[in-house]
Amino acid sequence: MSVRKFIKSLSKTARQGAEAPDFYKEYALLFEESGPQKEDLLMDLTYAVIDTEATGLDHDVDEIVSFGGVVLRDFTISIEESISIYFAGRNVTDRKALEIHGLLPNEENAEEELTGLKKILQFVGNKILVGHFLGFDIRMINTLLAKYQCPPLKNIVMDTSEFAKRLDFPLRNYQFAVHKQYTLDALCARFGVIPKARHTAAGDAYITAILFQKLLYEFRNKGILYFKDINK
Amino acid sequence: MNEIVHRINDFLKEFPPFSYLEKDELFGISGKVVVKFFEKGETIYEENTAPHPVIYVVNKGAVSLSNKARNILVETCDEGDLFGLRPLLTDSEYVFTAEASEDCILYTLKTDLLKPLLSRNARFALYVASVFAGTLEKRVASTQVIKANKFDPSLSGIENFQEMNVPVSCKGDLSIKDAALLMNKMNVNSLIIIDDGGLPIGIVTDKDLREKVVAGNIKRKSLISSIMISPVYCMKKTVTVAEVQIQMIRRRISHVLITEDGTTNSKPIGMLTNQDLVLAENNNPAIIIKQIRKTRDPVRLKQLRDATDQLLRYYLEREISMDYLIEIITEINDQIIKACIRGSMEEIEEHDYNEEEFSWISLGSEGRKEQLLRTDQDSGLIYKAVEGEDPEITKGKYLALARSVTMKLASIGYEYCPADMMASNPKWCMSFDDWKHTFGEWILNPGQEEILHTTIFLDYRKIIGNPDLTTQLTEYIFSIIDRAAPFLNLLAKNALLNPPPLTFFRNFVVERNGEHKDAFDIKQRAMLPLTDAARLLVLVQKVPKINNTSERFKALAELDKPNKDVYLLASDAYETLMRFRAENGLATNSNGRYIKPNELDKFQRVMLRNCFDPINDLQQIIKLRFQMSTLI
Repeated sequence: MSVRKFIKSLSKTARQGAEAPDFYKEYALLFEESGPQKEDLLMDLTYAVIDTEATGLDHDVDEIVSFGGVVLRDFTISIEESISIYFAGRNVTDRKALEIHGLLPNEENAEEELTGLKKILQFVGNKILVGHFLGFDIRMINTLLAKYQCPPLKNIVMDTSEFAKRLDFPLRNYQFAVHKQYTLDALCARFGVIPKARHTAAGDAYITAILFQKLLYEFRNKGILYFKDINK
Repeated sequence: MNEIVHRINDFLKEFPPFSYLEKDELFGISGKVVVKFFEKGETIYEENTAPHPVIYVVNKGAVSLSNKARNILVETCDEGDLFGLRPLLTDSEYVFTAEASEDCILYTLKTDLLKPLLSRNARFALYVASVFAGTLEKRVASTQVIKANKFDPSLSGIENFQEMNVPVSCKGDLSIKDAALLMNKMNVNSLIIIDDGGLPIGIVTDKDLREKVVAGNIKRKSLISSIMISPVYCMKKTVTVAEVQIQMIRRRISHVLITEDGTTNSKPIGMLTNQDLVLAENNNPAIIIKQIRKTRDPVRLKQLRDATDQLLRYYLEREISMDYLIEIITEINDQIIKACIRGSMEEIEEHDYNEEEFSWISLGSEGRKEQLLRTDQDSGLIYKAVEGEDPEITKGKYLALARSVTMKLASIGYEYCPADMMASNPKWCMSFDDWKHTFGEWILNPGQEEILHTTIFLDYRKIIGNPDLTTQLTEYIFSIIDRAAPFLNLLAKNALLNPPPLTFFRNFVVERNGEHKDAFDIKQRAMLPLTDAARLLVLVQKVPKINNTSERFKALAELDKPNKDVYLLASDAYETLMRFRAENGLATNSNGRYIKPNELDKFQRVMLRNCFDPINDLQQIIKLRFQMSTLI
């Protein structure tokens, strides 16, 4: 049974989180506070910009290798608040992607799966999640959550690839958008973000954050200012 | 293992002052960076507002600093530049407005995080202070920061001397024989003679025993005090290798006693010998000088001068202080010239020369003690006229000497002066009266060519010969200078010929064409204006015997108190420029004159740019004093 089917097979209460483990309940509790308001300026909100790297692209089979995130608050990234998690026991065939500064994550600095997951939830809290092709990252995390009898993430999400398309296609006729023009690399080139330390979760999260703020400037110039404008 | 911290670390480590930090230290700081975004046109901070508790580093984009009230663009900062340093050094409000001139990513660092580094890391502090330095007032403040941090890299000697030998001492009533036995037993080559209170009264070395007892006529039973050298030369414990070297060379001594207060009024605590210095440094200028003194052979002299370039390189790398460098290299150059002159005096059989009857003078940069690298020879010869002898014969005698000397110097690597300003030119080999007359003409009836001559000749310095000749010549020049207003005005005009070498956007003025296209001529554009200003101002103040440009500025600082700060900064600037030129010369195997601005790193560029600021201030002083605004 695939994880997706497994989630669907859970009772409604389980999906709501009533039977979820304590760490998830703690996370879910945060959403009882009121979230962003319609009139909030996009530039004033707090975002968790995230990225995950996985063993492959199939969330039914593949597993999260690493997770990286930065907090964007008042248009500022505080490096101290950033996070980088490596999961222990992953069978990474393409180790090249992990070679940073000649260091490979070893068992010492890698996290047990459950600890890593808890850290992710603590990090994202009730912040708005931002990512590039974020759907994939969310699915990977949700799959992991399901494994520990947790319902999916509850955060509001914003996808930088979607935002970029929206800039180019105000009428949202995205069928005309050429996919390869909206990859992270393509957008970095277009908006002049130097893609360093690419293909590490934390590095990509950082670049995505910079791209995201550029996009918000572009939005502002087009009159898309408030939270309510996003879902319009 | 956070790649973002690595990313930031990788960026910062490329740029000073962060490149001066220890690996761990920088990594710690990188993890504390806060990244901020600014859109083109956005204001980062405004002038006359309280400073933010952070400093800024441009990661991407560009920031303009300007004075809005006066509508002046002060500086454009790009990738790797620091700005908004004010809160790190003072509590006062921002003086400039910072605006993003492009979309920017800025790294901000809390000042609390960096302040401890200012006192811990001298290079870090120096860089921060240099960047902060802009206006005169600020430059003074930053100089104080540098001084407060005791940034003087030459003072590396203390550590070297930690293994100082304990001096062996005895009372003066010991017999020479017993003293020699004591020295033998203790395996030392010197003995300190102390009084009843343990204070040093004299020193006896192997050499004294050899010369006075073994080869001399003093008996072994005599008291040791009868052959001691008294007083013994003492220095403080905090002394540096450089200082000891200078004293040993100057005093021709091989032993320095270290006492508690550096005088004979306190107890001995250590003994430094010539050998200790050899051990302290591989390259020993004292030994080079000693060997120069021993030879007359130009081939050997060239080897020794080549060794001096190695020494210079070694010192520059270690950032030995310029004072010391100048002293050492000038002494070596002087000794080489002396060796050549004495060699020629002995070789030329047709004539007898007597050092009492002439004076060999160095002109230009060697005259100013600024010739760190072998550049052109500039020299002159002053001789006493011989009564009853045909002046042409006397002149011929000295010209023969001068020709032989300049040829030797050329073979050692000091090129012939292209303008033939050398003692071998009959025009510059003259009797004392002719020199007096020539200077009189130059000063009292000045024209454009005369001014050019005087700028070179006024920096004359005696290398060998009768000191009275040069002293009297200087006295004569000072005696007529008060009657020479037009001359001084021309000299002032000449000193203003080279404006500060920055364009409006604070870029270097580079050569437009020719062999050195796009290179910056550090001699012509930066050093010459300072040299010219210093020469003019000491002449007006009648300061004798100081030829060195940075020393001249130091002397002016004492004489012209209101402008003290300008002079002191000019003095520092000149030393920095000399260092630049020497480093560049050694790196490019040239005379170091042409520098490629795009090959300088950020720190060098900032240092160099700061050196230009005093030029402007000095030229203002000159304009005021000579009322030049009406003349030009």
